[in-house]
Amino acid sequence: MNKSQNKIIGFLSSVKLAIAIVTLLVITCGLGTFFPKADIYHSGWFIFLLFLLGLNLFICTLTRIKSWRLKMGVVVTHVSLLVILSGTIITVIFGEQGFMPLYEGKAQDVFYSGNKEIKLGFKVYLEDFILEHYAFDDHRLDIFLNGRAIRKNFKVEIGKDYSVSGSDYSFEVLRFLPDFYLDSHKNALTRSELANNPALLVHVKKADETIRQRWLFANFPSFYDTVDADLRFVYSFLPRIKAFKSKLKIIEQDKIVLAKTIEVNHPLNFGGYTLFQSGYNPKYLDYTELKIVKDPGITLLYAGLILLNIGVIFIFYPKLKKL
Amino acid sequence: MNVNFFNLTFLAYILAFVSYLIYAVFKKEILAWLAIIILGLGFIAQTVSVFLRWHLAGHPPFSNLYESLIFFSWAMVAVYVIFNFVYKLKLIGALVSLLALLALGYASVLDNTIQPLLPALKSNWLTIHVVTYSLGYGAVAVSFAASLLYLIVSKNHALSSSLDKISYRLIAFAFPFLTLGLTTGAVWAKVAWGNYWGWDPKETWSLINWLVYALYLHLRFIKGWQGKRAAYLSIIGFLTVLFTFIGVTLFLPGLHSYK
Repeated sequence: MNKSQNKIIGFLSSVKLAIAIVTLLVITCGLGTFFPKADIYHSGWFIFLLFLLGLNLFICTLTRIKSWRLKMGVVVTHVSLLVILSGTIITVIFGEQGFMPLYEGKAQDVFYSGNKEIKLGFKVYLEDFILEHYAFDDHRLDIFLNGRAIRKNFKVEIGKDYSVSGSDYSFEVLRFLPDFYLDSHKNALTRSELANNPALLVHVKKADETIRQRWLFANFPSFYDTVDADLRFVYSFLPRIKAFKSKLKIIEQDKIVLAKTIEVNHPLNFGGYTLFQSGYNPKYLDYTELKIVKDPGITLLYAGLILLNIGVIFIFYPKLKKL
Repeated sequence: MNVNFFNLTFLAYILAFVSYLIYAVFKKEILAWLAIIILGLGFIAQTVSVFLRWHLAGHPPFSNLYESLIFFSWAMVAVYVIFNFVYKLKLIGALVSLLALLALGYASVLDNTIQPLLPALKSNWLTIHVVTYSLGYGAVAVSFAASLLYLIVSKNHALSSSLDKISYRLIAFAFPFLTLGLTTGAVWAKVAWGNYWGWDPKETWSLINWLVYALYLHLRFIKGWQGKRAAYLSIIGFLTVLFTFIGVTLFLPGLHSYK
């Protein structure tokens, strides 16, 4: 190897280069969070930086591995980074990812990735989509006295009494109806358990004398919001979702081979694919959206991550090596 | 009951801070001892309050900014107390108790009602991810305190080289925690929503942290960066940690927003 080749390898394996690349990466990553539309992380510049870092890591590790022989932690850490990068590259090149919209009672064997339609070797059948609420939902009031907002986002609970500071008004929250409507006899009822028209009944008093009872509507905040001449309530409702799950069956050649209910943190693995609970529509509870992922690089990535953690522990807690 | 422990901790940290300050001026050893004892008592009260909230909530108390700030404050005091046994640097205590106070102070204006867990947070990964990151962040907070103090005292001060050394040791201690925090975050993301990395602001800034401290370590080991340059880098690192922890939640909300 001649002198100039040595120089190039020297440069490519240098710590100086690593420091320069990492500094540029840090700045680029930071800028990317402030200008998300620029999509810096998929830009040619960014990919070039990552490539250069990978090259630097690779050559650095190769040329120094002999002198590192005694510094096990350093070897493991740097090799692990290369393993992680390899796993990522494999995922980017060979991975698949897309979405599958699914209706209850229907089976589907394709999912959509951008413009492409990808066919699975099996069918996915949605038996049931389940949406669970917590028993206590979140009711909030903005309270205006003489036109001025004196409480914003004030949490109230059914059955509790509250006073309006700076006045002699007080109120009790009597009832909540998630899907309010008035029947022919003007009774306030709920059409369903879904929060399609959340309504809150408040009983307002001034100096302990009842003024009126009034329904407040989250979907129509300026309708009947004036509870008295100088008192106004604006009601907002935040549903507390406990869980959203899809009860699925996997069908292969007309036979059910797997049944599982999936939700966030509990996906389903089959046929090289992983099915994740993605979105749903609170107005149509017979519909779900699944995210389908094929990630051939994940094993390498996990191996790399484990090595990375072992490596840094060996470097900074060398006494643990004895374990 | 929860609030009483919070107030106790707050009071203890104020008294500890004042004690450390007076010690810094008058250099009477007894004041330093008083400070660390009060700090320790406050720490015990805070530990009780964390476990109490865990029990009352029925889930780990790491689900929103209020709870995370409390735990961050706990972690930095924990790291300081542990390191104080080995390194005996009392002056740093003044800054650490002040930082812990600031975290608690900010928490005190946030909504502290116990809320049920969002579905995405219902996982054992929540505990391991938040605890590892909190310990890492707590350690770099103490490192920040040491670096700040290094820059404040004069160059030939008796404590200078100790402050420089302890600042490095804290980063060395923190780095595996930051690595594990990043790792558990990625693995949990894969399990929860199918991708271990999405370049969302929180993930990106936590990578930035990790890279900045990796830079610090390389510059220190290989390029001999010590003293002033190291102190500045340690401070920059902590500022990126603050941005990741609080800045992203407040200014760059996204998938990771749990106010």
